[in-house]
Amino acid sequence: MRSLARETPLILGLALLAFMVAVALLAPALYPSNPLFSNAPPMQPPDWAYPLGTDHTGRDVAAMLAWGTRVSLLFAFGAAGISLVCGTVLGAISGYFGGLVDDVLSRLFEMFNIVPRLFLIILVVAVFGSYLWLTVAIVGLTMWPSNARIMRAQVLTLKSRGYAQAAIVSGAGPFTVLFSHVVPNGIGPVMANSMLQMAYAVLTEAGLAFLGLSDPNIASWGQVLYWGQGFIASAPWMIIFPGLAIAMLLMSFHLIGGTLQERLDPRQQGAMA
Amino acid sequence: MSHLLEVAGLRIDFTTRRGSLGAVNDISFTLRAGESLGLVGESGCGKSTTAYALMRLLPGNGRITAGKVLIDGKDIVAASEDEVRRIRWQDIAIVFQNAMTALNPVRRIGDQMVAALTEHQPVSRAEALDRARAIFEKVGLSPSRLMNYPHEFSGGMKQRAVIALALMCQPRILLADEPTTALDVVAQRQVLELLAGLKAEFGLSLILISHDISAVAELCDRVAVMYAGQIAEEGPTRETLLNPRHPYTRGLVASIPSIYDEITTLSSIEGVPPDLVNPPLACRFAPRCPHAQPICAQVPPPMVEVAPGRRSRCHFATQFDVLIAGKEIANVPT
Amino acid sequence: MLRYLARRILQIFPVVLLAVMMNFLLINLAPGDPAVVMAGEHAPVEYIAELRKSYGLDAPVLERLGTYLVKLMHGDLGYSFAYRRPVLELLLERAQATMLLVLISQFFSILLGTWLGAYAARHHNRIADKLISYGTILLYCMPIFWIGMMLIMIFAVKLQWLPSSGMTSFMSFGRPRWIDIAIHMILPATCLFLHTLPIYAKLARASVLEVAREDFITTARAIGFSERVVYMRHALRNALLPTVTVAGLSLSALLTGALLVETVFAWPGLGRLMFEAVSARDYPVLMGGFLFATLLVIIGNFIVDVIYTYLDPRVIYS
Ligand SMILES: Nc1ncnc2c1ncn2[C@@H]1O[C@H](COP(=O)(O)OP(=O)(O)OP(=O)(O)O)[C@@H](O)[C@H]1O
Ligand SMILES: [Mg+2]
Repeated sequence: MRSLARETPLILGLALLAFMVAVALLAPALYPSNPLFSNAPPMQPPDWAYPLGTDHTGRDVAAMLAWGTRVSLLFAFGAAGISLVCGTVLGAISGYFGGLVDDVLSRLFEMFNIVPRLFLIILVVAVFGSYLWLTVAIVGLTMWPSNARIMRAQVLTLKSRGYAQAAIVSGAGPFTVLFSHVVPNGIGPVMANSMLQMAYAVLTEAGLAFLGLSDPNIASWGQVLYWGQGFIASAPWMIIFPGLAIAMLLMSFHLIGGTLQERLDPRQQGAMA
Repeated sequence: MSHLLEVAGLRIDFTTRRGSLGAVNDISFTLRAGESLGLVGESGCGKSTTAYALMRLLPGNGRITAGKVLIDGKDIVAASEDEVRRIRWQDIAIVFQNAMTALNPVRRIGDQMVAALTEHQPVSRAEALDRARAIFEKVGLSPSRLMNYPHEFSGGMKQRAVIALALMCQPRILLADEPTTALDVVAQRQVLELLAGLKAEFGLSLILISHDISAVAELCDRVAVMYAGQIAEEGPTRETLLNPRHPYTRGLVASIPSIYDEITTLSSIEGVPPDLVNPPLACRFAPRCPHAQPICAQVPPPMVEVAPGRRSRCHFATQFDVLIAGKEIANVPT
Repeated sequence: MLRYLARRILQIFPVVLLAVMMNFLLINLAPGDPAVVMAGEHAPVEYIAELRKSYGLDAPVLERLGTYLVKLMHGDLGYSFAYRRPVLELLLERAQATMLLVLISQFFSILLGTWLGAYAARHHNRIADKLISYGTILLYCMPIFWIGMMLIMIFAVKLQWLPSSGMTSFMSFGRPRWIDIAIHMILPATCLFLHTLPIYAKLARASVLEVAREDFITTARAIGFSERVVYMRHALRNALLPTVTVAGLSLSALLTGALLVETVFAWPGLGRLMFEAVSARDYPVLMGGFLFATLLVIIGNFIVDVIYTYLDPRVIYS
């Protein structure tokens, strides 16, 4: 009973995420036609036919949000995935080899941390165009330094451990030792950080769309908010529901990530996600 | 004559993951004004826990589950939070086990001393500073260092500063929890001499917790030897240490090399102290006692007065010579 | 201190250079004519031709980079044709509104967030702690521009208490200008405040819990200070150190928040300028804005370091 109460955040987080993934997978079945085609009366408040209402051009908000789930999850997993790979590899190399490599890479981590990310992303997307995959890649490529910093610290403490030393003595090459012995043992905190990065990626997508910098041919949560901006008074449902969707997805990442962090650092009992 | 401090039947339990841990179990002792008491015993026997309880400062998972702590006749255990706060530092102050971290690192030492005094007494900052200066001089620190931060002090200086802080409100009882452990030998001597001087000058009642039995022998009128959360033996220091009435005291004294006598056999007590979550039901020392008798594993020994002001928690306290001589014991207690 | 200053400036240099290089890279990698990217889409043809000449855009890459750097060094961030003004002038003007918004909202956010976190720590694992913890996570999960729109929906549309956009009104109804600005600032500042509040609350909670385990806190209790004083005066002061560090590290996130808030509330700051530049494809402003924001973060970091020395006497710069 007590242990179940302790697991509530994790269970809630996983349930929310599962729900989102299910919606993303079922979107084509639920709303087979392009969600951006108008085929409903405009500005309908939520009712039985259109549970989340319709927008000013007669598009079903529920359909757009269901399809938008796919975009958000793509950003979450795509961008955080890119960041995970880059951060882990560079951080591990920096921590393992030390010396000049470490100096240069560490400076780079620091510098990337200072540069205001969204300003850079806006610039890149404005200049190159708002292609979905390009945006995912850019968001991922601006997030990796925090992963790298965590991985570097992990490698620094783990490389002197017994199993790493044993592997070195048995004649394994440095990259083998690093990536098959050290990194797998130190990946935990990076994974916890990745959950937070997923949340950040979803937020960034929404923010870019809200600034008018997302692909106008793809329905996304931020896009609906962007369109809804002009109708705060007349069609509040265009704003309330996409925001709730974002908050729900973010909540799931924070709940899962928070639990992970707590498990990895037993001192932080009952810490906030 | 009434006692300044009276502890009766004190019991302290910690809630742990393994269950309830009885860190202190039925401890009683008294302290008169101007008297000094040494608390000795192995690591983990409950010395610090006892000291903390006297100020009701136990950590969140610790609770006083039975007994009384009377300071000047007032029961700390039953007092309200506000009453306890008024007693702290005014009537009873403590020098913590670790002086290195006992001071706030981001506030000047002088400010910390001033804050302690103004919290309890209606004095101006200037008056408080004057007092801080005087005390700094007493403990052998230059008053010009009053406005330094703790990290600017050496270990020995920090220890003196912590003592100075404890003296700020002129407490009647001073608890010193291993005040010398973190120091080198020379500094250890100096701090002990300082305590001896302060005791004489202010008429402080002192409770000194220490592993260093020779320090206790020098400084304390009485000694209480603790084992596994209980007092094994208590009495006037000299008599108790020279002529123990409990096998644990005997073992403890024997394990200390004497600097005066040329002791050739240096014995230490074999085994480890019991697990306090599941302590032995009868005598707690019996599993390690070289003289244990059948009864020791069956009946918990009572605390008995073996002489005026001397108590021991051993079944054989009154026939101790016979016990250690290994002779047949005439009338086994039941 | 002087030596320290000099070292800091040396550390700043590479970051600025990195931002500049990114700009330069973008200009040269962008699809289409780099001159158009440098001038923005509204620039007249003659200007683009002139630009091509003055920057030597037909010259080899390294030479072009040199010219670019020299121009930047002279504070020449280009010319915005959408506004018909030099970019630097535009940025400096708009930065004022942003600073006003950021400073006021952060003042309250740090104050209240830290207090909330410390309060939660003091009541660790009790109802107040749970409420504050979950409340802050929930707040943290809401996109800032969504919070802004909800504020508008409630306070400007439904209740009609406060204006929803801009910094001043056309008709001031005889109000002094600063009151007019203050009234306009309430919603955007609240929005930014709500956005950063959970960060400081979470941080303060964690670090106060950490500090509360330290020996000097036990000393403070032993002296007889009340729990409130122990937490709010002794633990909090020490726990502020990580707050300050994080405040410094999250400056760029703060600017991001400001960008979005200004967009929602049409607050005439840097962020709103960036938004307008996006719709106008005014690339010089976008690039200048990026550089400028980088500089702001660096300066902010520097100020945070100075505050840190004041808070922690153990820090010595040598
Ligand atoms: N917060 C706590 N939670 C659980 N158990 C505790 C706690 N503090 C102390 N104990 C236990 O209580 C017992 C007594 O500890 P205490 O610190 O009083 O020993 P001590 O005699 O002061 O030892 P030392 O000489 O090492 O300082 C030990 O067994 C210890 O493990
Ligand atoms: Mg102790």
